[in-house]
This record gives sequence, C-alpha cells and structure tokens, in this order.
Amino acid sequence: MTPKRKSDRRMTNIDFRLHFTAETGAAALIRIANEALAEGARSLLLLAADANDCETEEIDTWLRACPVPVFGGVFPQLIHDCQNREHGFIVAGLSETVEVHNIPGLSDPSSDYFETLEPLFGGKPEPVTLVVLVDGMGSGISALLDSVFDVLGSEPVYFGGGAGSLSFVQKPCLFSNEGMLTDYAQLTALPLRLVLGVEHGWEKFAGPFVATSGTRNIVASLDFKPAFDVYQEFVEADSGKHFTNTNFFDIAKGYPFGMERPDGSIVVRDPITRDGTSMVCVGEVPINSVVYLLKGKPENLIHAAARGASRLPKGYGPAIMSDCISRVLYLGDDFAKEIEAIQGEVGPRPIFGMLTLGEIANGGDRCLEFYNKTLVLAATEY
Amino acid sequence: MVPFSNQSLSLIALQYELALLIGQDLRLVPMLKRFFPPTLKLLGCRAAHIWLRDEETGNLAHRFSYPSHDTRRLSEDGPLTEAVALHSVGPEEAQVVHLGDEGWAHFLPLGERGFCVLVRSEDPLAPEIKAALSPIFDRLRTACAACIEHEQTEALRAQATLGEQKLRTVFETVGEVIFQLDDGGRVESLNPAWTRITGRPVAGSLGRRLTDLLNTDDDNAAELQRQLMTVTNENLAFNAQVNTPDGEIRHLSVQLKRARHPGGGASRLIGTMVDTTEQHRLVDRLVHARARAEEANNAKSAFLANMSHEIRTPMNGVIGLAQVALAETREPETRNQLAMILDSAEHLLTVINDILDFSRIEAGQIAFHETEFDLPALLADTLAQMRLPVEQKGLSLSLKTDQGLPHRVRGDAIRIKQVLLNLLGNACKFTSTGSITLRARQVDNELLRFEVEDTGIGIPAEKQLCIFDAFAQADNSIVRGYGGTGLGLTISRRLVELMNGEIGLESAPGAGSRFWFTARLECVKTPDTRVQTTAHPTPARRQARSDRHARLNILVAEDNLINRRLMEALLRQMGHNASFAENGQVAVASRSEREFDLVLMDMQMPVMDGLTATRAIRKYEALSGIRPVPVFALTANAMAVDREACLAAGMDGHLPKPLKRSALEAVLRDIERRSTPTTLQDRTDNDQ
Repeated sequence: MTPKRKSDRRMTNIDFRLHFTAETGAAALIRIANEALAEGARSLLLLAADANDCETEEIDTWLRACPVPVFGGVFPQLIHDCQNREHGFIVAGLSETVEVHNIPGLSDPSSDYFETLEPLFGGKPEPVTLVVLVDGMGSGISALLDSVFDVLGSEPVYFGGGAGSLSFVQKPCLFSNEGMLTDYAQLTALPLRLVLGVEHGWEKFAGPFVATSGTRNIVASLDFKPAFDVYQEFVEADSGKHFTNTNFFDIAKGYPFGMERPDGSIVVRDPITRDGTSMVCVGEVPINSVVYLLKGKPENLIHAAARGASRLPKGYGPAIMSDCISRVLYLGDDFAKEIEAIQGEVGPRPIFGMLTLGEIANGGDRCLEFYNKTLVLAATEY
Repeated sequence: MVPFSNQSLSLIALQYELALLIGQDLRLVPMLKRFFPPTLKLLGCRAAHIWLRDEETGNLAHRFSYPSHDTRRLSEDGPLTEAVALHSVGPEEAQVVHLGDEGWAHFLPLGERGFCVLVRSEDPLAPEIKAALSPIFDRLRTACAACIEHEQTEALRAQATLGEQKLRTVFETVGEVIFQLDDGGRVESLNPAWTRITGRPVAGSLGRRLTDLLNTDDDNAAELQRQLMTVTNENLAFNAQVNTPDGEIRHLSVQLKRARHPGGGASRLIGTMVDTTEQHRLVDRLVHARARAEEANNAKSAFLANMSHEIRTPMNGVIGLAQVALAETREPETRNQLAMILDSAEHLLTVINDILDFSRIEAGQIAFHETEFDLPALLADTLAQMRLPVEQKGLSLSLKTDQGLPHRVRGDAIRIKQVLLNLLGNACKFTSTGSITLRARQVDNELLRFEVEDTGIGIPAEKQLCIFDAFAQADNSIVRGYGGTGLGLTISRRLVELMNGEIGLESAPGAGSRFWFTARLECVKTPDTRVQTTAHPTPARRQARSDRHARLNILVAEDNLINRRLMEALLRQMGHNASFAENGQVAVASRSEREFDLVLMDMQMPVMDGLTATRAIRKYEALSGIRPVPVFALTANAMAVDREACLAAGMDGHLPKPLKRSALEAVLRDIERRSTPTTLQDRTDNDQ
C-alpha cells in the first residue's frame, strides 16, 4: 500500500534500540528494559512471547513505576533475528516520548468508543502513525477500529495487531503504565512515518456463502444452515481430514473465511474454535456479509509475503512485522522461508515483531480493517 | 487486483449486503454510521459525505461524513469542495470527479433530497459497481427521509414532553390550588398545593364533589352545586372555608371557569384556590385593633368631657361670684381687684376652651351642627362681643359687607363665630393703635369670604408659613408679650378645613395683617327681609334690655353649694326669686309642690341627675295635665353631645358653665316675653 495523504506535521526520526532476551522470567524483561532506560530511552515498546513464565504482579509493579511511557503486548510468538521465537522478550527503546491511550471495555457491547476517543483526539493534530494493539480475544475489535477511523480519519498510518494467547483464553496481554491490561485496546501515537506492506496469499476455493446469523466474531449460520456443518462439508472434502472434538484448529488453520471486495481483494477471517455449530473467528464477520472459504499454498503465502515486503522503501531503519500466528502454524518449518523472503526484500533493515491474533494496517487509502492470516510490515522511511 | 471473480454474483452479493445495512436505526446519523463503515470497506473507499436539501430553504447542506473527522476538514479539502461545486452545476457530467492525489469522488444521487459522495483513493469504482449501487442509494434516500421525519417527530415530541414537564412542575410546585371538575362538579385533578394548604391528601379528595370538600351547609352546598352546573366561560368567584384534619379553618378564595377541551371533548371546570387565611387573620387583628382604638378614643372622650366639667364647675363659681361681688361693691380698690380676678378668670377660661377644642379636633370628635341662621346678625353679634375689649384699647371696630351678601344661610353658626372671634381677638391682641375691620362677601354661589384686617404689628413672611401650625406663634416671645396658647389659629384652620374652606393671611411687619377664610354656606332663599347690618346694637334693642319686667320664680337644681350661692346672688341682682334643690329628686318634688317660671337644672347631681329629673318633671306634668315649666340646663357638661342629651330629656335649652350673665339674661327675657310670670312685679333692670 502506498500512503498518499501524509502530512509532515510533528514528524521526526525515531531511533529504535532493540534489546532481546530468550529468558522467560519477569526479571529478564525488567533487566533489558532497564538497560534501554539506561541508554536514554524516552519510551519503551515491550513485546513478550506468550510461553514466557511471567509473574504478572511483579511486572505490574515495575510497569507502574516505569518513568517513561510504555506500550506493547504479549503475543503467541515473537520475531527477532530472522526467527520466530516462542520464548523471550523484545524491548525497543525509543528516542522520543510517545503518547499512549488505553481504551477499556473492548468486549462490552454498550461501549461507545467514539464518545471515548473524541475527547482524546478530537480537534488536535492527528498522530503521524498510530500503533493499535488490541486484546485479540476482545469481541468489539471492528467496532473499535471503526470508531478510531471515525475520529482520526485517513490521515494517520495505522499499524498493529491482536495480542493474546493461542490458548484462546483471555488474560492480561497489554503492557501499560497502569500495569498489564485485559480486554483493552491501546493506541500509541508515534511522531514517525511508517510505510506499510500488507499481503496474505490466501485464495477462494468455496462459496460464496452468506453469513445469515451470528454476532460480531461468531458465525452461527451460512446460507441459513449451521455454519460448522457447511464448513465441515467443504473442508473435509478438500483436505481429506475429518474433524474430531480436538483437532478443529489443526485443520481450520488452513481453511479461513474470506470476505471479497469488489476490487477482488479478500479480507481473511480466521476460525479459531467452534461452539457447537457456531464458529468463532478472530475479527468480526458482519451478519449478511458474503464469505468464501479460502485455502492457501505455502509457496503462495511466502510469495505474498515477499510481495508485501517489496513495497517498503530501501533503508536502514527497522522493519516491524505483525504477522498472523496461523501463518506460522500453517507453514510450520516453511515459515523461516517467509522471513527470509521478507529479509531479502528489505535489505539491511533489522526485522523484529510479533506473531499476532489478527493484524491491523491502513496506509490511508481505505477504512481501517482488522485482518486475519495476513502479513503486515511497517518500516521507517529511512 | 482481480475484480470480482464472478461479476454477476458478486454484484448481487454486494447489493444484498449493502441493502441489509440500510435503515438499522431511526436516527439519521446513527443509521448512516451503521451503513457506511462496512459499505466503505466493501467498496474499498476511505470516506463518505452526504449533502441534503434543507426542507425550508431548499439549499443543500452538508449533513454527514464518515469518518466524521473529515467533517472538520471539509473546508480545507479544496479538491472535494471543487468537485461538489462542479457536481452542483452539472450533476450528469460530474458523477465521478478526479481529486488529483486525493483519489476519486463518486456522486450518488439521493433523489431530490441531495447526494452522497464516496471517496476512493485508488482507482475509481467500476461503472457496473456504481450502477449496482444506484438502487441501494435509492433505499438510502428513503431511509434518510424516514430518519429526518422521525427525528422531527421526536423533536416535537421532546418539545411537547418538555412543555408537559414544565407544566407538571408548575402544577406541582405552585402555591395556589389548581383543580379540575367534571360536569358533575366532582374533582378530577388536584395539585399538591391542596394538601399543603388543607392538610388533606389529594387521593382522598379526588372523585368527591367540590361542595363536599368545602365547609358549607346543605342550602349553600345546593346553591353552589347549582352555580357550578351553570357556570360558563365567565369566572365564578366565591370565598370558602375548609377544615384541616387538625380542626383548623383555612379560608380560600375560589375562582373557576368552564374550559372547552382542545380536541372538542367534554368541557371541564378549571379553577384555582388561593389561601386567604392569613389575610383573614390580618383583618381580624385590624378589627380588634380598631375596637381597642375606639375604646381608647371613648376613654379619651370621657376624659375630655370630665375635664371640661371639672374645670368649668369651679370656674363658674369664680367668675360668677366675682361678677356678683363686683355688682354689689362700690369701693373702687375692691372693684379694681375684682375686675382683675374676672379678667384673669376669663383668660384662663379661654385657654382651657382652646385646649379642649384642640383636643377634640385632634381626636376627630368635633361635631358640626348645621342650622339656618341670619348671617348679618351673626356678624353683628360677633362684633358686639368684641366691642368692649376693642374699645378698651382705644381702637375702632367696623363691619363692612357687600350688598350681595346672603341674608340667611345654612351652616354651623357657632363654628363660624368661633373662627371670627379668634381672628378678631388676635387682631385686638396685636394691635395697639388704629383700627380693626371685619369684612364679608360672597365669592360665588355658596362660597363666602371673611376678612379681619388690623393695623397691628404685622407678621414677617418667614413666620407666616407656620403660623397656623399647632403651638407655633410667629415668635415665642409673643407668648410672653401677648399671652395665649398659640392654638387659636390652629383651631381656626382645622375648623375652616372641616367646613371645606381655606384660611390664609397677608401681612408685613409694621403694616398690619389681613387674615381671611372662606366657608361654604348654603344660601337660603327667603323673602327679602334683609335689614342693614350694623356693628352696634340698635338703641331700640338696647332700650329693650332696660324695660321694666316681671319678677320670676326660679328653681335652681344644683348640688354645689358655691354655685347655689352664686345663683342666689345673681338672680337676686336681676330681680328674681330663687328656690334651690340640692339634687334632682328634690327638684322633682319641688316642681310637684308648686309652680315655677323656670327651672335651671344641673346635669351631674347626686341621688338623681338632671336628665332623669327633667324626664320625671315632664312625666309629672303630662300626667297632671299642667303647663310644662321651661327647664334649662345649667351645667359644666358643655359639649355638643351634652346639649343634645338635655334637649332629648325634655329641656328647653342649655346654658354652659361658667355661666355668662348675658346668656342668662337672654333666657330670662325670653321667659318673660312668652309666659305669664307666677309672680308679676314691675322692676327696673339694674343688672349692669
């Protein structure tokens, strides 16, 4: 995606100083965070792998005492040094002070996000880049993103993703100066322009179907039939595998839903579990929307990743990945090829990031979407 | 990107999905906010704007943007503004307008109501997609119209609710009772003021007849019910009472009228009740206070009357006996001393009379008795009364009247004379040489003007302003030099004002004074029997006083020993026989035992008072069929009410104490003229 309507207001170059540890304890996180602070960091981006053995209370105490703004989250896996990491912490010390807003009630149907956001941003200069991190298990992500876009419009570059655990149990997953947060969205304004590359590589193989009933991220029926029955029929036929009570995600990670746009683009929705005959997705599937069943080929996904990376400018600043964990789960060992392909495109830029439960990206050319099974790359212009 | 893989199916799917997004809210902005985010995502657009025509002005106005952020930036968005202007001029030609780097603006009509603009950053929407949107935006137009109408209805409803709430607030908090009756006079609604005023619950009063809630007896209730049934749109107002549960009575002022239902339904009686209990209490307090004030006033009157009596009684003795002694004494030194006693006593009497008069006026107890009288004669008598003191100072005294001065008039002769004597007395007092002139003329029909002019010391202008005020002689030194209470002019002014006249003066120091007053006196038409008035009694009248006349037998009822001695000496000097009774009972007995030519009756006496005795004498005479004897009060009860009481008891006249010799002589002459004396004996008048 090519940003078209970017102003240079309040824009500056930010120095990202990366610190990584493969250790899993809270002490390790605190240690490398303090190293970043000692280097003069004025803000901290904290990324943690879900498999870390973290004592939330200890981290909460440290977060609340942290002298600089903190943002970031716990993700299924991290990306550092051309590898996906199931354990460890990444701390990026930023040379500028950032502005962080924590928005509660992500799953509360009565939340009026516009009313919450308007006083925070209305009438002020828009952020150059807005990092949007959400609790990936929250059910109101799309509504939140609609309100964020309503208030801020297409001026900022949006980048982010869903934090949380592959256990699909909601738990504290966002770092903030208030401590670890659950069911929150976190909006961080960066005075830095990022350039985006977004691709997924999934293709339609069945459909269209109409999502005839459901709520938010739950699809209850397709074409007035139980959603799982329809899904099971086509997927089992294509994969030659049979769904049991325990293997839903193992099969489903290769067969997401897709919502087609008139321009041929497809927004992917990742079914992560089922509830009876209803299917629970990462991200909202609007009722009455037309959906397809998608499937991918490893080479197509890797090729798409390289295509996305090719949209980034050449430079030396970091490239930040927000890549869907289901791509890792689907590609398995081939995921290393995806990272290599990306690295090959971005050149000397250091790559780091997170493997997410849903991805967020918008370069200003359309409305803010919550993607699934998609690779989002963001890089500085330098 | 590859456009729709299955074009027809995808277009139908697009229409289906968008169509179902429309109209999910009845309010315009929320409805559009539910429609546009998924629509923009489906269409790959980044913004939507709506312009709608104002129903009143017909002008297009921007009504909505998604993201609403772009509303704030609309005025800065030059390309979009230009595109809108272009579309307004030629909507057919400008359906898709290139915005340069900003992308493309797609104009989608909303019927006659306005249009929608979809902004897309990348390529413009394919024509078939835009065409597929046409029926969707037709639906959107209908939805917008429905939302606008709904919001207008809601606004009106909110306004009505607000109005109703305001009315309800007034209804519940106003201090007056507001009520509504049905056609049967039963209470349909009642506000909480009813409970605040009467202590009765509203609920327990609803459904009852108004007449049952008020304290009315059966007759009044029936009459009130009848009035309620017949009341029109004119106000029916009445006062009522209500008993509170505590037994207290609350007074209410009730007003009601008939009001037609706005929808044409049955009419209702609507009314208010105002709590007037405090006003009633105030009136009660005022009535009570007035009664107490009247009591106090009566006590003051009694005190004044008593004072008058108590002073006049001994003064009668002092003056009378001094006069008797003067008449019987030839020794010059003694006569001189007696004359000084008389002079002092007369002066003291004047002072007392002034104070009593002033007190009566201030107490509002002065009474005016209008009678028909001879005005020239009054003026002549007044002048005659002043002649002696004026001549004693070597001054001349004259009366000048206009030819047109009415002869007989109706008014209070006594008060006119009192004012004239006061002004003449002042003139005499403050004039040492020269003259005093009394003038009288008719100003108009009933207005007469009297003037007293002197050649005395005159009054400085600055003193003239307060000369009629109480206790304010022109100079306090005058009191010392000339004597007097300073009340004479005040009394005169009050009397003149009470007779609807005015009083004033013209004066200058050393140039004398002219005091004047006016009085409204009704002129009585009589045959022209006017005689030329004169300041001097005619020789004929003076001669009459010295005619020979009869010796009368006179009964004097008097409890005071000194006064009995005075009367004995006085009547003896006048050549009459006096018998005495020390109280009324003795007087009645004496009257029954023998005939008298005259009875002089004191009013306040022990055993039997003068009024009772007179009534007994008249009763005796009536029963006996004998000629009534003339009875004159001779009393220190000198007030007008006393005189009236005497006449009412059957007396023929009233002589106030201190007795003036001339007044007694006048009565005796009258008795002599109209009766056959019991003992006829010629004698020579030697009273002077």
